[in-house]
Amino acid sequence: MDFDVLIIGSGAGGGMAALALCEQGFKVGLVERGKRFNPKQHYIQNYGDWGLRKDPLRTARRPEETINTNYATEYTLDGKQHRRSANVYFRVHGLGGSTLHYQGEAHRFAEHAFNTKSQFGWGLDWPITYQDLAPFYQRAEELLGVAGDANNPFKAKRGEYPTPAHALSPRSRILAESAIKVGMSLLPNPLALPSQSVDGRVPCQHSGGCDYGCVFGAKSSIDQAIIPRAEKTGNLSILTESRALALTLDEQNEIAAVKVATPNGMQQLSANAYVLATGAVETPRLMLTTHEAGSDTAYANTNDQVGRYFMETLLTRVQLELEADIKTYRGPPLDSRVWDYNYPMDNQTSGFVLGAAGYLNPGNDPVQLALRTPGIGHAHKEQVRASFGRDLFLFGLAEQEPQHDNRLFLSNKEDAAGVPKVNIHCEYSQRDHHTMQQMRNKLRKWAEATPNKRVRNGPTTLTRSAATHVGGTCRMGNNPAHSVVDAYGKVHGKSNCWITDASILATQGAGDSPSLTIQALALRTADRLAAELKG
Amino acid sequence: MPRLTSRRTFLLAGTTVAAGLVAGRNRSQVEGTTGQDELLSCIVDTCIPADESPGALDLGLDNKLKQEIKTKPKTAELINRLIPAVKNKSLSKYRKSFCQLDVAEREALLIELSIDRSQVQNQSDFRKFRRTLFQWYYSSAEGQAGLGYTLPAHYPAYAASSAGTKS
Repeated sequence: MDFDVLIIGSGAGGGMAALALCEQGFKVGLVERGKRFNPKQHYIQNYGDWGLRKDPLRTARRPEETINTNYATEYTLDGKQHRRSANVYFRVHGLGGSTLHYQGEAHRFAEHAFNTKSQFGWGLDWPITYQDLAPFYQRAEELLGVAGDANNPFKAKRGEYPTPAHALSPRSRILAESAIKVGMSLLPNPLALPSQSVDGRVPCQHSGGCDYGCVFGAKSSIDQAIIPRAEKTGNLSILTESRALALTLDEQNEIAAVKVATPNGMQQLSANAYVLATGAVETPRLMLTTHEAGSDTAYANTNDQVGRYFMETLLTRVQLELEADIKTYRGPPLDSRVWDYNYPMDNQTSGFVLGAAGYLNPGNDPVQLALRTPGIGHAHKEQVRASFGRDLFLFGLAEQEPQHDNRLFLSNKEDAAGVPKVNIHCEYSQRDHHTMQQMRNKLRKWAEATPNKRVRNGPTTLTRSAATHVGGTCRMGNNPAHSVVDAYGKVHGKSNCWITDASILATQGAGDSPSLTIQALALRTADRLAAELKG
Repeated sequence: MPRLTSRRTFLLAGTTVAAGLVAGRNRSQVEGTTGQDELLSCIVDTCIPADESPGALDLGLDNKLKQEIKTKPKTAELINRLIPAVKNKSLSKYRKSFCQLDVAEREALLIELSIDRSQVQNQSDFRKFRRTLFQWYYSSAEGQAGLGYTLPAHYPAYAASSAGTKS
């Protein structure tokens, strides 16, 4: 065997599982499709013309388009035809996976998010409770140095965060006042952006550049906060720029090796146990492209569950131009949230959260803003100055109701390596539509209660999918007829395969971001896996 | 910013007259320049003038362009087309050299150049010129500071870990 455990994918779930296993003495191989980035060299915000540069976190994935973009979801609801174009799949090829571009949101799912079925009559009950996961949430928060305020009345009672909450940004202070006017509370968002140094790392510098790779290495992405700790154990072997193409099965249809394309050629890597952690699209894709001997089914898909219950986050936005002349990008991009509706407001609506974001993106960065502002001379300079740093949007995020027929399945189109792409079919339910409308209503009232120059509706996911936070597809459950993995992330009916990514999420946390939950689940799975390996 | 004003004054007044008025850096930069150089500086100054924040001349972007002309043939070709176009348009429309026009006239002339579809080459050249100039200016620390922006890489704490170690 090459390793005790071979982990495919180095993002939130894979990276955290690697650390837990290395610390318990296991030799771990970690396969990552992308490269290892150097924050002080590779990230665009090291450079004055960053808005014109190719962002390596985005361009790294372009050679491999996973999703067949010609597949659109069309469906009828209440007599109306709806069409959703193919998913825009935001992910990162790089050591640390999508934590390289996440905003550091470190949410514990609310207690009610684990049993929506028994509480509200829709969705699904997880096979575990919040209390089962709480110690692992705590451990993950400590590793990440999460900054937060423990006195959030909408969340389960908890101890202090590892580092204090960041002070609210200028934009959030304004928005907090208007939120009160419409009966809401804008509260500090727990962030894996340590407000104090942890492990000798530079604390968050409020640069606002989380999305393009933190040039300070201050954001607790997996490559900064977790991998170095795992490397110190001497038990971690990292294979970057290496892609897992297929699972190689033995006669019992257990994984015998993983076929990996490395910079040094094709390799069959073997281990005593395998952890799949390539996300809610790539993990089922890898399983669906591997066929079991003596049957027509794909790996672990006897019950036709792999790829089903695909879930997105429902997103709606309202653009807001503040009356106040402040730089809206200052501070962590997502430093505050509204949780008043995290607990469903009525029996027709899913739980959701609201928030505000101020970003500098390529497009509203200094250079591109200047280029697209017409004219020259004094007037041009004044116009650029007046419009720079004014972009702000309010957003609502909700969980999508899990549905059996929302799924990904193999396309007849292939990527450059000959691996089939996937089609994603994803309809919105009546509840989803209603929740989107409720979020929009709340956002409009909030925006209009804020001293503003302009309020307008922004884009939503009603017509265009957004695969930033996707989940399901290999969901967790006690019954193999309706799930793919058990309560510890072990694939039903298999002896040596575990999953630690968003694909195992049974529901999407009522609008909270999934990263911390994925990491807590990975720590829990790793402990279980370690116990099994120790016998 | 007196230093900057004197250079601008010089450019407006013309090389011969103003050469004696400017001092130090500005004078040494301008001495020996050709009419083309002077015109180029006037165009640069018109596109991004100084106001409460520095202009393109203050950042030496005209000189940077002149250096590029020496090393990059495509830039040289573009400037060699653009300069006569501006010069001729100024003389035909105002009967003055471009540098002698007031600010509004210069801006109007350049904007006209950028939208005149009958002169596609001029239009294209000026747009490329504008793009280069704005790109240089707004990617500079000085240009960004004028917007109240500091590139993260320029943060004081970037070089060394600092602040609040968790006990």
